[in-house]
Amino acid sequence: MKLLTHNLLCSNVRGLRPGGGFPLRIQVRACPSVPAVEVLEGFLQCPDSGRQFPISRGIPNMLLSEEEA
Amino acid sequence: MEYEATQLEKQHVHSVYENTAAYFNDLQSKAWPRVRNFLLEQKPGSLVADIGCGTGKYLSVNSQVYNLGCDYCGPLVEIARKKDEEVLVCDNLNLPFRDQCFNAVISIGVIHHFSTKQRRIKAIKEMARVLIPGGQMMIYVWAMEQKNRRFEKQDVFVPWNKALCSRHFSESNQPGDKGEFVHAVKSQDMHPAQLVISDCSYQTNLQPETDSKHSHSMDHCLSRACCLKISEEENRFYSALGRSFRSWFFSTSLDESALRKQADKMKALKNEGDWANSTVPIQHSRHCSLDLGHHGALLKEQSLDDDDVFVESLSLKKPQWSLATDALKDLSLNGGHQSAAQSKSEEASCVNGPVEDRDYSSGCNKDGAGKSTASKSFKRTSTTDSTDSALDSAVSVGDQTDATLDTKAFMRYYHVFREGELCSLVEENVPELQILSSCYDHGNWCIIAEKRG
Repeated sequence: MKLLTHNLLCSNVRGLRPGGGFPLRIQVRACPSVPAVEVLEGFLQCPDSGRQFPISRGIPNMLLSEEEA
Repeated sequence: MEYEATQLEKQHVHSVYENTAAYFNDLQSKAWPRVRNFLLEQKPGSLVADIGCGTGKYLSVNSQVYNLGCDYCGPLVEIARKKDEEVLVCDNLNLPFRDQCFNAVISIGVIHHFSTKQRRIKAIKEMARVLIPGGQMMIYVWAMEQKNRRFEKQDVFVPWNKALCSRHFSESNQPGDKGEFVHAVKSQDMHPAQLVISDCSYQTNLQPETDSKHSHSMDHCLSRACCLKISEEENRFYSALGRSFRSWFFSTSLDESALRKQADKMKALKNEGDWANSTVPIQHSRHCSLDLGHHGALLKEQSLDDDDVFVESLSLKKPQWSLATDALKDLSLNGGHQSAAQSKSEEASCVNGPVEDRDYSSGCNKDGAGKSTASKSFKRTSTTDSTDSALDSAVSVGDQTDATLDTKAFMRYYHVFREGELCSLVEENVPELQILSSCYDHGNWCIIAEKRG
């Protein structure tokens, strides 16, 4: 996931406060010497609900379960 | 009912794509020129979203813009990712994007997979939401009106089988559905009405009068000329026979009431939600286009298009068609025993389509409801033609090739659009979009719409 994509993404969990789903917090294993330009493994966390969306192999998975949608 | 709609799509869209994704890798699906042009017309630096991007074939068309693809199907997205595309997994009905962030959005061969009108509207509205005012959207959906033939109904199930996913069969006129051919399966596994026959299996098995039977793998026998010593006309006849059974149509409109009825029925029959391995009968309404009792209606036009997947009409003379029905009956009967006309069909890839009418259940029952529409409709006619022997041998060796073919057929759900339907859908339900143009392109209805504001 590139930085620009992150700029466009927001949490789509139901029942959030207005604007509560953006921006998603990027959670990656800290590597101080390497700036995170593209996230390959990690999570995007919804600031309002705390829901974590996984990123694997550079692909964020933003699918919600039926209860969350 | 939302639940039934999601179950249907889970079973007959998502699961099919997931299971068949690996084979999409090989298929160089056609990038529709109009879509390419739409993408190339976007200003450099634009943000462009491909909603339902599949393996991402449109994501590399215009390198001057930022292309973001998303799809519900993880395996397909992985393939796109391997090509270094920027992709993510999400649901068209609940896009994880902010409002008004894209300059352009494309939806190519996607919303025809939504099983209710409400969901199709929602998909379009979601895409409109993420478009900036003045931004444009292009939507492609499969058309009910096809070249030389028509789907009889708008809600259809299209079989897919991996054996037909090869470069040879790379072209079709469906957006994103390449290699969507079907093939012969073991006769005893399938209800006769569900049989679909490939060109190749017939051609590999058409034995000239004198040659001994020799086996061909699918790969070797893709050339039509292979092994063929019969006339070109007969060749086309057998191909047409195959193509004529290529798809199995179910005649319902999947509105809520139909889905609810079907869901109730399903619940009565087996575990809720467990559609995958059911042996629920295939239910055909009386209006099923492949009700073979009305085969006369299928004999319409003369042209056979090799690239067509769906051919409802055959360029056959009537007697040949009757021969075909006999052959089909035989084919359906464990290699040619007529007595098996009422054979109990076995549990296999029987797919249940949501239909309204339960009176027409046929075949695929564990209790062997032998009263199949097929058995009623196959009428024996005079079979004294010289082509008889070729047919017989085609039938009898059908089983041999099955070993080389994956007999599991996935049924993919589509709602095909009538002319004007997509436009009306947008005009009446998505006021935030203004339609700029609409056209028919390679078997698809296409619109370009602009976000107002």
